[in-house]
Amino acid sequence: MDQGPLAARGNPEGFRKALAAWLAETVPDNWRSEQAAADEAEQVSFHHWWFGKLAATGLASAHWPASWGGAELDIGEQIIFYEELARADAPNTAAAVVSLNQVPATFFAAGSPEQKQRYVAGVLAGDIWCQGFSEPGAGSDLAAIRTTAVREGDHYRVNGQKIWTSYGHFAKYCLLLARTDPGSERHQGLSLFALEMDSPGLTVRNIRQSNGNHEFNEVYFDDVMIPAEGLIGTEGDGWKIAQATLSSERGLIIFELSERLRRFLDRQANAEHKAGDWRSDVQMRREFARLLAESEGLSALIRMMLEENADHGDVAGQFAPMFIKLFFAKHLRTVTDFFVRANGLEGQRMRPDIFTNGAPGANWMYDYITSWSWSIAGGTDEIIRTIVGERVLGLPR
Amino acid sequence: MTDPEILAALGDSAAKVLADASPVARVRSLIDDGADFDAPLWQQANELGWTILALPEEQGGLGGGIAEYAELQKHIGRSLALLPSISTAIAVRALSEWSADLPAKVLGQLAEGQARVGVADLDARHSFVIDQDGRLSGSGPVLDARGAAYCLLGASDHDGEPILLLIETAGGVLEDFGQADRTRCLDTLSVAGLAIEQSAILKGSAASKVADRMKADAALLVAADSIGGASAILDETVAYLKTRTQFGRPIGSFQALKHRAADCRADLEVCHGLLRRALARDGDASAHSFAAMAKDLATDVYLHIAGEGVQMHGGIGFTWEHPAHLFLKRASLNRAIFGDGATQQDRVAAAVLAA
Repeated sequence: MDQGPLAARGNPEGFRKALAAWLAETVPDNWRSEQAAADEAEQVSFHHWWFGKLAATGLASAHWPASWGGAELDIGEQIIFYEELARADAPNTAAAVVSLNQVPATFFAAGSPEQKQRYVAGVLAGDIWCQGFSEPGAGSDLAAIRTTAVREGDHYRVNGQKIWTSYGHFAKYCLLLARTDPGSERHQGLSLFALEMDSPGLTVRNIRQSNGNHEFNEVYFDDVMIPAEGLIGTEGDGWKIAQATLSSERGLIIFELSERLRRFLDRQANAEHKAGDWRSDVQMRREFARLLAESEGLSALIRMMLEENADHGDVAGQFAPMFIKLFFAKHLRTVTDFFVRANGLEGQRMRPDIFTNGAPGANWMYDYITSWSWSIAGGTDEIIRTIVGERVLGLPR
Repeated sequence: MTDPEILAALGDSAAKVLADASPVARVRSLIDDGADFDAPLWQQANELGWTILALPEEQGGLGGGIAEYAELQKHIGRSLALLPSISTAIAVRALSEWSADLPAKVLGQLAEGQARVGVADLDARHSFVIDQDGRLSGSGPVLDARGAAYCLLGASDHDGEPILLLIETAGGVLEDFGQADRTRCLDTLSVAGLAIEQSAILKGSAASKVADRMKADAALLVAADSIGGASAILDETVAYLKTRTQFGRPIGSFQALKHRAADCRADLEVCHGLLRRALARDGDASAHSFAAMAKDLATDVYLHIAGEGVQMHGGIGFTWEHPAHLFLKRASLNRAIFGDGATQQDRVAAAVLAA
């Protein structure tokens, strides 16, 4: 393997410099404008090209344990990695998020040696996974899952429907949460599976989103058969394992996003000042100052959380990602609304997104509409407020 | 930046002292008696070295920085203790930078606990001017001037240039400002033709450097006070939500209240993060801008949380009896004093955006 910037580990500043140099050399200068002009297939292939670069230098899996081919970066090094990605405005590998985080977290926690061997290695070769958890009747209330997987000999027969399946249309595999005990209720009787997306009886239908993108899908299961070796862990342990899946990446993913947002604000501050633009307006300047305060505070808080969790692994820190997500969603809405207003009628223009976009860019209205995904996906603001209220503040149910 | 463990130890010890010496009943009785500040507690604070945390060791201090004062101020803000701690911290750091006879003498007295220094709000409207004969006239708001031997002021010299001054408080007249927040001692100082000696005047770039430090320190300390106060009233409110029952259940089980409390906590955590980052910038080129961001956000969040505290306590929260209004009033003064939100935002915008 090409050691790349990972060879410079050991000294944080040396690692930072090596990353910055590698990114400067590897990220094409004009990738945003080129991608904006490219069609969907070209954008997807650019995503895969960039993922390949990260995988070849070990950076894609740098957070994995050494026994699984990872570099076992400590938390400080991971922070540096994401800070430098943000500073370089590097492309984002959104379609690989589940593969790089949820998938290994699941298999490290509960996978058999054969599963680990087969699936985790595939991730680095570019296998895309999707997460089959949410259903039409099981959104915020995930335990209301009704999709069934019934054991028949050496297979499970799957029937039901999943929804909001990000990148399901690109995925080779699905992490499927289904009810293996048909009479069971709530958190009991659920099991987790690795399912091949080209299985007969499986249909993927796209969902067109309010921002014009197609990231989500509906996935229908009509007598889909999963070989019994696709079961992850023990039958009936699905809910417990799914918690490991879901808690795998919250902190670092949101850190990367908040760093990208902070750098975006820096770039806006330093951009050329055109006569009569928002920088001439005292009220807009003041609002911008407040956005910077929120952005710096959020970034500092996430760093504190990551460092303190790494140091102490304490229980209070376990819920820190919750209020970070809550604040991030509000902050992102405020930032994107600011730039829609700052650009007047021009701010109403909406162009298609770039597939590897990792942060707000100059597509103001798109970014504004997309900000709702952060207050809805991964636990709506309302669900998160309930969790913070009950588990952090100790308020009664 | 000071070792976080040393700061935590300082914070723990301050929390214990304040919990014993300044329970809310004590704060209330001092306010009702019209006390300027809690003199016995201030005596204790001097003995504990709280006043000289950032004084260089060669001057008999503890050699710390603004982070120590900020840690302390969080706990003072939590307890609402009536202490001239913000003015003292600003004065110690300002006078340490000002090498002249009178400032050095005053700093020595301050470090010994023999004298205090009232500090003017440099961002507030005032009319202090020195005429060509070196006589000072004018008036403006000064924090903790009552009983303080000296006051540290901003003024204009006869050319309109900004200068700093150290004067004897007895040379002017103090009049209670009449602010709603009685946990603070704020007066209008009026001076008419007071002769000022040369060593009490700081001019030019030295003056603007010290004035900038005073403004940044004030912003950081008020931010710290706000975070402490906000966490105290939020804790109190959350405790009330758990115990107060209506319709046969604790009111904290209602999402209309639970969700707001959760938002308050998230906002407060971000302020913690921002203050920590701003303190770590002390001495950098960006220090003043970060201090301004911290004050802008933390005072706004404090006022919001204190307001939510009043509201979620219902009728009892609107009484004189309940401490919620003490936090609300202190939060409002925190936002107004030493440069309000717009002032801080203008400072940040000027630093990061082209004009």
